[in-house]
Amino acid sequence: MTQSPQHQLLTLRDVAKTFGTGTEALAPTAFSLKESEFVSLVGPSGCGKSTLLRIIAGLVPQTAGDLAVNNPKIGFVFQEPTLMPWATVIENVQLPFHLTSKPEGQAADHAKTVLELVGLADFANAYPRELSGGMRMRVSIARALIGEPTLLLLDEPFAALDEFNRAQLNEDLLRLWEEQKWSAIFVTHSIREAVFLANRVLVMSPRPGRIISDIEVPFDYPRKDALRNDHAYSDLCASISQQLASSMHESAL
Amino acid sequence: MNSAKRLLLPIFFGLALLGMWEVLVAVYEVPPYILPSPADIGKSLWVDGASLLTALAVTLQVTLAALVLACLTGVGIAVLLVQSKALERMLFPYAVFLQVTPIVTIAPFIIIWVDNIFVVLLILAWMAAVFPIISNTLLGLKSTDRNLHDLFTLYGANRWQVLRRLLVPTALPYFLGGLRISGGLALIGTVVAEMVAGTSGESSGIASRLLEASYRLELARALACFVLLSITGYGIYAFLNWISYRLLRHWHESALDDPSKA
Repeated sequence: MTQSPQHQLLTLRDVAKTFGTGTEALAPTAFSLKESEFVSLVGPSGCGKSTLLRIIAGLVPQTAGDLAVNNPKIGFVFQEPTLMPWATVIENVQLPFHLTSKPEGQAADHAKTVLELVGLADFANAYPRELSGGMRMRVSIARALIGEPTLLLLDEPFAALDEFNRAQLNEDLLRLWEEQKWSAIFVTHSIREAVFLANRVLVMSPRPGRIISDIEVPFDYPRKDALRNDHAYSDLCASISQQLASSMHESAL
Repeated sequence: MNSAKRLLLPIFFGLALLGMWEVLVAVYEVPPYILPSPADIGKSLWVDGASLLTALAVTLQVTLAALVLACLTGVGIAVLLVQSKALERMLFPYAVFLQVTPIVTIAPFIIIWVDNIFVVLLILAWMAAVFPIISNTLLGLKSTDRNLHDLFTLYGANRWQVLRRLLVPTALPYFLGGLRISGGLALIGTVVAEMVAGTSGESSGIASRLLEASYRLELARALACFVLLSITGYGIYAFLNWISYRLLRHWHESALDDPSKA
């Protein structure tokens, strides 16, 4: 973990969301995120994880509480690759530049750089349908990184991938994070993935979601695949799993 | 060999059918004012060819003008309707009326209200052709990926950027599907309009020539008109299919195969 003094990048104070239908999607939630911090968010299906991400991204307004984002340059990675099928890989990656009307030459250079970072330099002119699921997700990550974001929001990005691709992308994502030191909020169903990646794991209760625990992950970076066989790692995963299970049990009563 | 086979198979089938027809007409001595033989039709195509092609050109002119007009207005109307749910509810039923009302029942009014026969035919053919373009384009405009739309919002895209970079490409395959249907309908609309309007003389189209020949029991010539119309209809379809393939071949599922299979 970085030892230098870190500034708060994002602070949520009792942010809540109730839909027009009266359904409470998110109970008052508070947490903060430091610069260059990687936080995982785990919780049962429908607990409001995605809603929380969309509120932070400014895509939906919260119905209560307030949210302070310091220098909000946000990159978003969805559960699906969400690429434009009619555009080539490099055109997809350049989209954020095109939408913010940056100069064309600059867009091409940046796009090449981020494609190299995700290992797809040779596929710049391919169409999304020509790529595998894992490669499409890499394109999606490259697109989120091109604007040099200060905060990356990832909504279960690897849920649809097979075990091997997922492990590979976890390591690649960590490598990129260590190079570039953006902050990240990574939503996932997988506790093992959450722990492997993050500085902190936030655990959410069932709907309406709120954060029920905030757990420091003590392992040093760079983290390699071997960590997955470590006892301390397994124990931490088990303890988080237990907390989740008991919160679901309570809500069922 | 495979592609040659694919081409030859329907041709052989057609020739066999024509041969049978030729033989049956000869054997049963069917008079040509009841059923002419394929050779009679061929002769008529040869003899009257030049004048029939002139008439076909008139029909084709109306058809293509109506199709272009249907594209422009159809897309325009779809873009208008997608702007608000209320607008769509208010106007879409009238677009449906346009489609379900048989154009022969509207033709007499248009003929009374409009002097220029070209414009009469154009209006009627447009009415036949425009609905598939409206309804398909509308469906396409509403089929955008919600997450992709969110991404555009996240990067502060304006309305024009959303239209050009998201809505238009998403709607394109749907529009092209509508266009292929409308191509055939524009020709049908023109033919029906010509028959109802009863055009005659120099400016008459191929459908009026067909009608005229059948009144005189010159069935060989009437069938020659029919053959030309069929070939034209198929040609329009093949052309639109080719355009669709050219525009979509890089990315859309429908265009990933060989176009000749379609």
